[in-house]
Amino acid sequence: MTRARLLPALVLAVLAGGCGSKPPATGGGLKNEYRRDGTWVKDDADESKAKAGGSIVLPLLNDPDSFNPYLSTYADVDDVLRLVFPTLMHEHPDFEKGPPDFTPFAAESWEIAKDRSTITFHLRKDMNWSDGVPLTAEDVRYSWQTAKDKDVAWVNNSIKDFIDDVKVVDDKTVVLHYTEASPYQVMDANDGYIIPKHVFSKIPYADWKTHPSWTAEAGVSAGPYRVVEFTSQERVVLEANPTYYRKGFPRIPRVTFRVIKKQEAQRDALLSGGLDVVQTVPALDVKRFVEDGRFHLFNCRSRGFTYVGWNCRRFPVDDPDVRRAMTLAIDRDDLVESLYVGYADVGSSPIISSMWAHDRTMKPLPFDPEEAKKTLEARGWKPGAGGVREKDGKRLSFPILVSSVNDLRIRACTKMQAYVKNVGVEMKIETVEPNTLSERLRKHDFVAEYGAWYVATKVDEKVTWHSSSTGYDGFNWVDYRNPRVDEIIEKARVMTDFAAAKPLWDEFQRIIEKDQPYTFVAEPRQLNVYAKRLRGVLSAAVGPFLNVEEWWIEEPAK
Amino acid sequence: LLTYVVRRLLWGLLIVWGVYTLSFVVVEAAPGDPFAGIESPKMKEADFQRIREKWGYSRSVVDRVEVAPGRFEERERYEPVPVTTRYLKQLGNLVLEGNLGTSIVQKRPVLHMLGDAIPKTLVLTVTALLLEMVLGVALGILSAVRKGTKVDEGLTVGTLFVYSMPGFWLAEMLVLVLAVKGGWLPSSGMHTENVTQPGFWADVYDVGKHLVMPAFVLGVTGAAGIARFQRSAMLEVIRQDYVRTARAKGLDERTVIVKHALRNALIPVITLLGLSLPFLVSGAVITETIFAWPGMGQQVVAAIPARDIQVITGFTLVASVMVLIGNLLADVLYALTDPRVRLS
Repeated sequence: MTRARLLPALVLAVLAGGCGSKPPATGGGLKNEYRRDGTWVKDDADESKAKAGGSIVLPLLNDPDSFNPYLSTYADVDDVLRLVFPTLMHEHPDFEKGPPDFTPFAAESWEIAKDRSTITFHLRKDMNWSDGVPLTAEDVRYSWQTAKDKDVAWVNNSIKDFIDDVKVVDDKTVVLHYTEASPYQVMDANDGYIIPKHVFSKIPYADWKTHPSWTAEAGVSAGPYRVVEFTSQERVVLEANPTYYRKGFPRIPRVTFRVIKKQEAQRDALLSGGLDVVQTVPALDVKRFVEDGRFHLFNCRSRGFTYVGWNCRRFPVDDPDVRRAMTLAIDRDDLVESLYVGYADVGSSPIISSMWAHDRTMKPLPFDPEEAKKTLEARGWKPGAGGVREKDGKRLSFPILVSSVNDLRIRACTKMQAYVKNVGVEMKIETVEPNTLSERLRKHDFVAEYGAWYVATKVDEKVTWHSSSTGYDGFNWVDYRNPRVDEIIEKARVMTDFAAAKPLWDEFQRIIEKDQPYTFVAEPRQLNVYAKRLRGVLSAAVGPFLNVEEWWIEEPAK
Repeated sequence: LLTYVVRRLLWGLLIVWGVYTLSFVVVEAAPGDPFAGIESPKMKEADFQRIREKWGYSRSVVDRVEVAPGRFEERERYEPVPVTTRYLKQLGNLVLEGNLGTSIVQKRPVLHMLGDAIPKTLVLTVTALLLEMVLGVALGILSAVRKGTKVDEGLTVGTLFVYSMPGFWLAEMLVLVLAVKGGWLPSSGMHTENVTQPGFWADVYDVGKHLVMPAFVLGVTGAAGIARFQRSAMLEVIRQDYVRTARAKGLDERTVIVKHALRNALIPVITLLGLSLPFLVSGAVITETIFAWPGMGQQVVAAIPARDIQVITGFTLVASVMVLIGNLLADVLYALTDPRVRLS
C-alpha cells in the first residue's frame, strides 16, 4: 500500500449545521478561492437563497469493497458511508484549539457519569430507518456488538476496547459502560456507524465476509442518503432518504459517486463537466482551476506532513548532529515554494501545526548551510574527494528511499539531493515500489526515506515514536528510542485532562526537535476544488463531503 | 483437422496451467500480501490473524503447554499456512469446482468480477479491433494501389508517425483537445451520470460518445501497423500472374483489386487478426485506466499493487486461454482460407 497511510483512521461524521450560524470570515486569498488558516473552510453562500433539487457527481479513487461499515477498509468508501449511516453525534472538524467537539445527531443529548464509568445517550424520537422502522437503542447495542465481534474482525475494533457493555434502558435510552476513564471516551463512543439491526442481523456474522458488496443493506438508511445502485468499477448512486429526520434536507436529491482511479482523469473530468468536486488536488494544478472561473478552490490546513526519516541506528545518520546538519542544509522554504507553489508550510513537529497539541512557540529550524558545515566539521567529517566529506576513511554518502509511484516526492528528493551536496553530503535517490518500500521500512532496512503521514485527530504518538513500536508491526521505522519520550507518551496519552497533558506534549516535541529523527519538510494545505454551482460547502482537513446534505445548486449567471 | 485441434487443446491446457502457476509464484514472491491494506496500528495481532485465517493464510494451532509439573494448559497460536498448501487448495477449487476464488480486497467472487468487467472490456476492444482492421486494410490498399504517388507517401509518413506515437500521450492529447478544451466528448467513464436515458438508443448513443476516444486510441496505432502490412501484401499480390490475367480479361480496376487481389492479400492480415484476439481481453489495460473505462484492465491494475492474488491469477488464466484460442483460431482460419496449408 502507499506510504501515505491513514494513521488511526478516525471516522468523522457529517456536520449538521453545527458550526455556528454565521459563515466564518474567508477571503484574503485569490479570486475564486476560499481560504482559512484553520482545519476547515466554508463558503460565504447566502443560506436564504438555498433551494432544493438537482444532482451532483462526486469522485471515488477506489472501487468500493463493501458498503458494510464494519467490513470496508477503504478511506474513500467512508465518503459514501458517512452520507448513509448515522453516528450518535457529529464530530466537529475543528481540532486546532482543542480536541474536537460533538454536536447531536442520532443522540439528542448525553450525560457523562462523574466517575466517567458510563455515558448515557438519549436518542432522537423522530429518527427512523428508511424502511420505516424506528432507530432504537437496540441498533446502538447491535452496532457495538458488531464492532467487537471476532468473526467480523472490524479493523478499528480497538476503539471499543474500553467499552465493555452497552445496556438498553428503553427504546431511546442507551448506556455505554467503560472499563476505565480515558481521554477520548466520547470520541470512542461515536466512532463506528449505527447499522440497522433488523436488516444486518439477517446475515449471521460468520457469513459476513462472503456476503458481497452489501448494496441492498446500505439501501436501508437513517442518514441523509441511501444507496440505490452500485456498478462495480463505475458508480455508486445515492438518493435522498425520504424519512430523514431533518425536514428539507438533503437539498440535492441525487448524488452519484464515479469511480475514477487516476487523479489526472479526475481533473480532466472536472474540467469537462463530468465531475463536480475533486479532492486533494496537487498544488501545481491549482492555478488552472482558479483561473478557469468555473470553480472554487477551498484552501485550509490539512492533516498531513512530509518528512525525511533518518534511521537512528544506521551509520552515518545515527548521530543526531549529522541529522540536524541535514535539516539545516535543506532549504525547506524553497521546497515548499517550488513543489507546492506556496500551498504548504514548513514542518517542525510530528504534532502538526493544525493540531491543538502543537507547540506554537516552536519555529522550524532555519536554512543555514554554513552552520550545517560547521556541525559536520565538528563531528569529524572533513572535505574529501569529489566534494564528499570523509571520516575515518568512510564517505558521507547514503541512499534515500522514496516511493516510485509518487512523482512529487521524487522531485522533492532531487531538490534535497542538491542541497545536501552543497555541504558535502552525497545522497543517492533510490525509487522503490510501494510494497517493497513498506517491507524495507518495517525491517529498518534503510538509511533515509522520504515519506508522508496523515495524522489522526486524536493526539497519540505511540505508534510512531514509542520504543515498543519498533517491531515489525509498529510504525517507528526510524528505530527511535528515548526513555523520556516513552515515559511522556505513556503518561500523556491516557490523561483525561487535556490542559494538563499539553506541557508534556510540548516537552515531547522539544525532544524530537533536538534529536531530529525526522527532518520535517512540508505540511501541505488541504486543497479541494468544487464546481461554483455548489453552494453551502464546508471543506475540511477531515474530508470534503462533511455537509453534503446542506449543499444546494445555484447555476451561475452566464 | 479434428485430432489436430484436440491435440492443440490438450497442449493448451498444460500451457494454461503453467502460466497460472507462474503468475501465482510471481505474486507470492513479490513483497507484500493482500492484507497489507487492512493493517492498521489500531488492529490487534489476534484479529489480524483471524482475518488471515478466514482467507486461508493462517491456521490456529492449540499447544499443550506444561505450566506446572503435571498441569497442562491449552494455548492457541497462529501459524502461516505453507504457500504450497494454499496453491494446491486454490488449484483444487479451480479444477474441481471451476471456482476462481474470492477477491480478498474486493470481497467478491472473482468470477463475478470478471463477469461484470469482461463485457465492458469487449465493447471497447471489439470496437477498437474493428476500427483497426477496417481502417488498416483500407489505408493499406489505398496506399498500394496508389504506389509512388503523393497519397502513398503521405500515408506512409502518416502511418509511421501514428505507429510510433505512445498511446497514453495520444490519449491525453485527445482528452485535452476534445474534452477539456472543446467539451465535445466526455473525458472518461462509460455513461453520463445523473442523466436518465430514455430508452435503448439514447443509451447506445451515450455509450458511443464515451467510446470514441478510447476506441480510437486503442485502434489507431494497430491500424497504422496493419496498413503497412496490408500495403506490402497487396503489392506482392498485384504483381502475380493471375492479377495480370484478370486485368487482361478487361475487368475494371475495382473488380481486379477487390475481387481477385484482396482475397489473397488478406491472408497475412488474418494471422494478425488471430494474434490480436488476446488483446481483446488484455490489451486495454492502459487505455482503460486513462479513460476510467470500467473493464478488466482497471480491475487488474488495482489488483496488482494490492497483491490481490485471486484476481491476478484469475485474470491471467482468462487472458492465457484467450491467447491460446486466438492462436488456434488463426491456424484454423489459415487452413480454411489458404489451400496450401494443411494441418496435421
